[in-house]
Amino acid sequence: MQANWVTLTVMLVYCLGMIGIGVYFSKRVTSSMEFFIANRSLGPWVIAFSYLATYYSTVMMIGSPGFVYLQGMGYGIWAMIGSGWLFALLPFFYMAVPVRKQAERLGAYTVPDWLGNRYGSDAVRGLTAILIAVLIIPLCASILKGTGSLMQVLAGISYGWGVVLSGVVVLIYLMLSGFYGVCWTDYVQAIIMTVGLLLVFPIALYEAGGVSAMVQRLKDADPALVGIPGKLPWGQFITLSLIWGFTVPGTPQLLTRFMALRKNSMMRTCMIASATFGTLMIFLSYSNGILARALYPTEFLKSPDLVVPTLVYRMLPLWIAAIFVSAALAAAMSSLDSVALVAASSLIRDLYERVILKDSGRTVTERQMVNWSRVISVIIVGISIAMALKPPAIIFLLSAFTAGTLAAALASPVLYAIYWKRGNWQGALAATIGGTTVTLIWYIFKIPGLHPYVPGVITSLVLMPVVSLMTPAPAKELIDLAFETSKPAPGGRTARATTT
Amino acid sequence: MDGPWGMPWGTFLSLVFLWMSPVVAIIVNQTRWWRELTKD
Repeated sequence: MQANWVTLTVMLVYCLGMIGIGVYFSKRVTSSMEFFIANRSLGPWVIAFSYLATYYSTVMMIGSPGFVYLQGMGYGIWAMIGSGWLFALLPFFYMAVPVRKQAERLGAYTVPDWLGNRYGSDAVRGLTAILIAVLIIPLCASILKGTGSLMQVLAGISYGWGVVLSGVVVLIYLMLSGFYGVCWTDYVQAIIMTVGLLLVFPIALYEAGGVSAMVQRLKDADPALVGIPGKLPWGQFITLSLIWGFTVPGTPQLLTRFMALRKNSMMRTCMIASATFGTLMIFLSYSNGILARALYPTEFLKSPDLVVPTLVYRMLPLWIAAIFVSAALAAAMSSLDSVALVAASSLIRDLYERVILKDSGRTVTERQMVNWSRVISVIIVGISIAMALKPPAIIFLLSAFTAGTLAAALASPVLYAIYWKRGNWQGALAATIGGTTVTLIWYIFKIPGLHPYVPGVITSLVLMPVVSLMTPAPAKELIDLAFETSKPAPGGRTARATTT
Repeated sequence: MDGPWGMPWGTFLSLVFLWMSPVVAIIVNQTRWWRELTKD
């Protein structure tokens, strides 16, 4: 019981801190632009850490090290490369700056808003918004389910209370302070995650007898654990270790971070911070799986998810273990708040304000928009809590493939939006529908050989140019506006050069 | 033949490659291309 009270106390202090951040930033939110993108006012460190915390969920701290425990060191290092290079570094080169510039010029502050403006189409805007809302709510429920299980195992409280506590804390700071609260809590959460991981690694390495002794122990357990591709065939090795790094262009909660940066020049610090701390965090986290295999070669082969929590509680003083548990909770909450906000923005900004209100001819004040945004955030997190408490089977069937499907649907329209002037709304619609359909078919029929994201994104990348070239080119003024050959949209708010 | 710490060379070089990510970020940050791209 002592373990539970120490862990619970540390976790409650952490939760109160997160709510405090929400209260502090609540007065800044006076418009929907502030609620959804913090008025493009955030600095490079907050954006970099928020970007990392959003992507790194509990899976990174608990689930994936468990898989590394099974597959060994070679796989672990390549999974780190997938994250350290493909997620934390390269997107800054190939997309962060153009996405930020284009979204600002088009007056967009959500991904459907940006794509709708870039392709001059409410159909693209509406379809993207609906896809995000439909696919992300099960993802929120799935994250909360993970959090409930985590708190049940590590803090000794019931699953239901774990879900409610973490969901309500996220709900409070999200509702109060929108994107400000989400990013600043992400910033603190990323620091807590790094500290938690830094506390575990040296002690576990010491227990294993250092690097050479660890490698020798792995070889003694199974020589395949230290080599490449180790225990996996090459195809699976490459796919599993690198695949998620390629999904960044189709992940709306990450793209929004690029849009919220105050100035282009801040992307320099942002990139270095992301590459450095992203690599550090993933290295420390996955190393836990490798070290655990050296320390307990056979104990967790049937329950790899338990390996990191057990490692932490066996190795560390109680209060440090409690910080690590808070770090795992932080990893879940920092992902949940971001995806919930993306879903809320899709419904409010893109469907309600830009499609439904526009068609009805009514207008609403900014204050009303903020209030509606808060109400929708409450509803989304509330539905997610309800789903996680009594999960319908379909939800977890859906949540298993939401991230891959969304990434396959959006990656192609996003990449062509910043690189190809000839891309039009017809191509974007075909790419989104085709990518989604193929990925879903691959998931549902469990077609072996490739991760479903791969055929989905290839279909989408092919459909976009084919359909675009078969249909009329986009309006010149739209392209001039998007690609910096004319003045930006007045006030940075509206950029409707042409519509379908 | 094994590399440093008894690791196979492929594994060791992969580890080195992993940590090149922040190094590459710092090097690219000095290039004219990146400075031009990120100009305000």
